[in-house]
Amino acid sequence: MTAPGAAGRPRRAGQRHGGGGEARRVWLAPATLALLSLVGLVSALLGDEVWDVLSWGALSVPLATITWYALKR
Amino acid sequence: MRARTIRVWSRIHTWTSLVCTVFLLLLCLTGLPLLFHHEINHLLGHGVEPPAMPAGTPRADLDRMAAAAAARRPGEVVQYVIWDPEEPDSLYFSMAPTVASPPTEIRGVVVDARTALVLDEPRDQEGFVWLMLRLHTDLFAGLPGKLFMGAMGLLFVLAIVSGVVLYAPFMRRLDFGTVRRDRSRRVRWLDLHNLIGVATLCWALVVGATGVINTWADLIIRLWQRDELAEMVAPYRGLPPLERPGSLERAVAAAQAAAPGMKPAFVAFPGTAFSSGHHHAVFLRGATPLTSRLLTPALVDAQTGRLTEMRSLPWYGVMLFVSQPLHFGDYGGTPLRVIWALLDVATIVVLGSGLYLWVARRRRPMGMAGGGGQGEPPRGARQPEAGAVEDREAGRV
Repeated sequence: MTAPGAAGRPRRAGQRHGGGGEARRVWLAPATLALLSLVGLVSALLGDEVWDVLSWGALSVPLATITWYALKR
Repeated sequence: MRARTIRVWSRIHTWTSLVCTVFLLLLCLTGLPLLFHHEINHLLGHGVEPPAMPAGTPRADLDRMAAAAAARRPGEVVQYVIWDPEEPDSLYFSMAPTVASPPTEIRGVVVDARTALVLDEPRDQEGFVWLMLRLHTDLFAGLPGKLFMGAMGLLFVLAIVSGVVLYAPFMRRLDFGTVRRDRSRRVRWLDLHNLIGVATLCWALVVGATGVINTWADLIIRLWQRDELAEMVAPYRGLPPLERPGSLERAVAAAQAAAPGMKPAFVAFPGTAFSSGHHHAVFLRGATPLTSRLLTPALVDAQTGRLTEMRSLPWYGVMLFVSQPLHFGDYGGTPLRVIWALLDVATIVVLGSGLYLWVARRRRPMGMAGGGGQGEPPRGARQPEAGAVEDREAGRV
């Protein structure tokens, strides 16, 4: 099955610049992934052990996200 | 976003990507084995492992080790001694005909740090890993090659930024992660390109930008030599040259005494590019993953064994040394390097799909995929390129 809502949500032309709601909808996931990547990139620089594990966890999220959506049916 | 703005960004995205894609593919492919260079060299049988000895076996005297390295290559001198944090039981001596010989004439001698016996003369300038490294860094073209790769890296960064700008108008009517399997192959790959591209955005930007900084390493080192090093050794200018450098052991001890808790990363012998004619330049590293990369040079008078000066790196040196781990991915154990490899593969997919989309779009002009009635996804949403989005926008403006 294709992702629900994948067919898009038709909107009226007047809603094109409809405030922050749309930006939030588009950017929430990418911004979260970017933030997690940044945490992962920096944390292993700051220390070992716990910091390394945090880094592995955080940087795995973008990879897991790609795998999830790429394989989703 | 205005249709014209989108069109401009679309052009930027297309052309910055097109110019750099071939080189970026090369960088991604050669970078993959470089992540595991240690393991690969081991598998290929390069490099001799120091024999196992009980923990706490005392260290050999550094001057004895230097003498052993020199005895292995008669007529040559030590330029540098390098401590590899991953190989605590051995030291790497860079030997060359003279202290001023260029790096291409350096031959390595690996000496056991406990017995002072020569373990190996690694052939660093040949073999698979070396080939990957040259293709990755300078395409066998020295500094111009590095700077060229740096320019390709800058284009890559610009391609990412323009891709991000185009992402918003593209995804206006699609949920995050949508992959439209029921459409053409081109649409499916477009969706995958967007998904993987935006998910790896931060990592790709960081690795791309730090890679660019690394291509400037030679220039940064030259700047440091001209600025900082020249200032530090100014009092020695005009003194007669040293007959023979004094004790290496004493020089390292003097540097470590001045910086408790730090360990030597490498020592540049008197007369080499990283020192003066009168000093052992001891480059010290800290203990944390970050400070272990930030080297602090301590100049020790090679005659008296006393510290002349120690100072931390200028901002551009810090920038170079911080950008190295962030590019190499070698600062969080094997799991981090595996993650680096997977993200590298993801980037290859983004590059490959981008190239495919460009070819596919040229083969089939955009008008042909249009259509779609009320309630169907808008034309833009099923079009493979920003050009289509821009058409839709243009139609409405």
